Amino acid sequence: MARIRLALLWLAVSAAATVACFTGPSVGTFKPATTGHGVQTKLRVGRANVSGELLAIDDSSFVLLGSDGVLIVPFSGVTHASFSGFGSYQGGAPGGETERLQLVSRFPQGISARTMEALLSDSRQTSPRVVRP
Amino acid sequence: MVPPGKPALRLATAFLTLGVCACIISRGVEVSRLTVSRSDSAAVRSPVKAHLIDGAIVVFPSGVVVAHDQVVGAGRRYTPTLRETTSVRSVSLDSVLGMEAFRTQYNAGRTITYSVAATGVALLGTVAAICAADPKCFGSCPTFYADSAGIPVLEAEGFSYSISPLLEARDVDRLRAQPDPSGILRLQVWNEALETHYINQLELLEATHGADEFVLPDERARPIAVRHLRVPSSVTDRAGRDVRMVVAAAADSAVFVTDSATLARATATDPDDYLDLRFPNPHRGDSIAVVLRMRNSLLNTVLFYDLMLAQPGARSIDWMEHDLQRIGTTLDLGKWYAGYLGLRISLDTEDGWKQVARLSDYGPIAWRDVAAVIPAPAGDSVHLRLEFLADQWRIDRIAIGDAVRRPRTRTVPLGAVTNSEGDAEPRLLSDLRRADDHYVQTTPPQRFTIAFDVGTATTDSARTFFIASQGYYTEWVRGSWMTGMRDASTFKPGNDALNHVLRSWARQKDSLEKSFYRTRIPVR
Repeated sequence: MARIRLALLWLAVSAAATVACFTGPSVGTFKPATTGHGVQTKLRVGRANVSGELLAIDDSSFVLLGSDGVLIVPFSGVTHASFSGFGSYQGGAPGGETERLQLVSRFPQGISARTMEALLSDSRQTSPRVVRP
Repeated sequence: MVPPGKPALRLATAFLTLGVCACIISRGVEVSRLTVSRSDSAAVRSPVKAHLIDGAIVVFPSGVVVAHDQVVGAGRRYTPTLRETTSVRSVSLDSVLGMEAFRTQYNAGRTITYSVAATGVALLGTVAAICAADPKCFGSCPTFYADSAGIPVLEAEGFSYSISPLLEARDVDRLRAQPDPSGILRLQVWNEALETHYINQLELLEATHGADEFVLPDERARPIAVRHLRVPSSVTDRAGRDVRMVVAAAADSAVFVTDSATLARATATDPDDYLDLRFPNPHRGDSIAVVLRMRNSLLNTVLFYDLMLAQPGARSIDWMEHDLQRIGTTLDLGKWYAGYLGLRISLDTEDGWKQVARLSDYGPIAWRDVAAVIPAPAGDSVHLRLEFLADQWRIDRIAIGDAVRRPRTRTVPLGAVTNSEGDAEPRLLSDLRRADDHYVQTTPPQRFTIAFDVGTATTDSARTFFIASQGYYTEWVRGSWMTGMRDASTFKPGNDALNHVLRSWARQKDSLEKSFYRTRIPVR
């Protein structure tokens, strides 16, 4: 009887595994877990939308790599922030979420001067662009 | 003892249901810092990202083994600009600034919602089956305190044994606290253990009942009202001691503790202590309620801390981060746990002892009032046996009540959250009001205050309140657990584990409680 139950259990598990579908990312599809990239980020700043890869979070701002280079977005100007596959919140500083978000940025430990120099050079910038409302 | 086949069959049925109905499983990604001592070795099977001193990033999608000051795994090294990548097989720990581990996190609440919408109750059955297997076990939890003239009074501990996301559970605890004159009931929520708490939802239940009724949660955490509580006419433990006076009154200084000789004799093949009780049969209705006030001893804590986490050392990181995210591992643990732990109630019948109820574990910190509703027997007396792993429980009161009924109950949503500075926290309020994918994460010694607007009571009835909490927690792997010689394998449920925990508990029990309370993290 126990063997029959066990067989039934595994049959059922197998059946379930073949038909279940998933919503939301897994570690296998979450870019920061499988590549060097930080999480893709969308910020609402005033009436503008700013998007890019999250490079780092410092004491007062997000540092993004957008299509037009390295951007610094002060928390004070952000009215909504969303992080692909990782959640969102209604503006301002991330507060208690800061450390969690830092861990999915490209540089959780912050950006050294040398690394910033390389990033700016790569984007053909001399300094980051500050985005304000 | 619960036959292990029953939960397995329930799970199989649930999975079969799941199999024929498409379901949607909600998931997300969680990330945590990975700290590994240089002198230790560890294997992590989820993706790991290492940040190097020179700004480079190394990603190990299949995890790593850390040994001999090296992080070893199939990795890809990126320059800071990500322009160049190379394959790597290992990285020296000396060059690593920090590492983080990623894992997939499954959201039971949202999964159920989606699945109900899509296919009915298929996955609900799955989750219910997992709960039926009762994997609740171990450690600490968020604690709830009420204010009494400026002094915090411990009221309850929430989801005490939900040690991984798959074990996220809803817990319902009876409160003694009452609202202030304006109808506001306030509680403080504390994290006072070395754990990260993920609190999904907090809400209050209000039961309205007669003044002569005692209302408390049953074995499935549903409020019930009982009348005519009566104490046992005799209570004898397995050692033959008469312990009637010890369990006859609540909130006195006398508490039942397993006899030391019974504990010393307990082994995996005969691990239990029991209490035999007789009550005069009330002969009212077809059911009676066995009313208990009790809490776990720290035996569960020894099982969790010493055996599951400390003994495997650094590998316990992997066990919590990887194994406990898998249904198979969790189910094995749950079946083993349900077979031995908890408290089983049996009724003396013509055919011998018949198990009629089982209570799961509730945690070692707060006293818990709980009832088990059982069929009323014939005859002049009610003869019960309470059976449990030796010395797993501290029991303050045992009684039976009759006139069992479900009282009128309403849910009071969370009304306000304030932080320890007294400032309003609207975001926490929003996150805690619903069971969804928004969790409030706390680490020690964080605390906050929750408030519920319950209004004022009518004069012709009484009210009893319950705090309902849903969430899970993860234990911090202590530095001391990472040092010295350790077992190479992660925790395996079985007789060896049970023998180990019984012996370890017998050795430590006299000193452990003192040190346990000493090491609770001060939150004030």
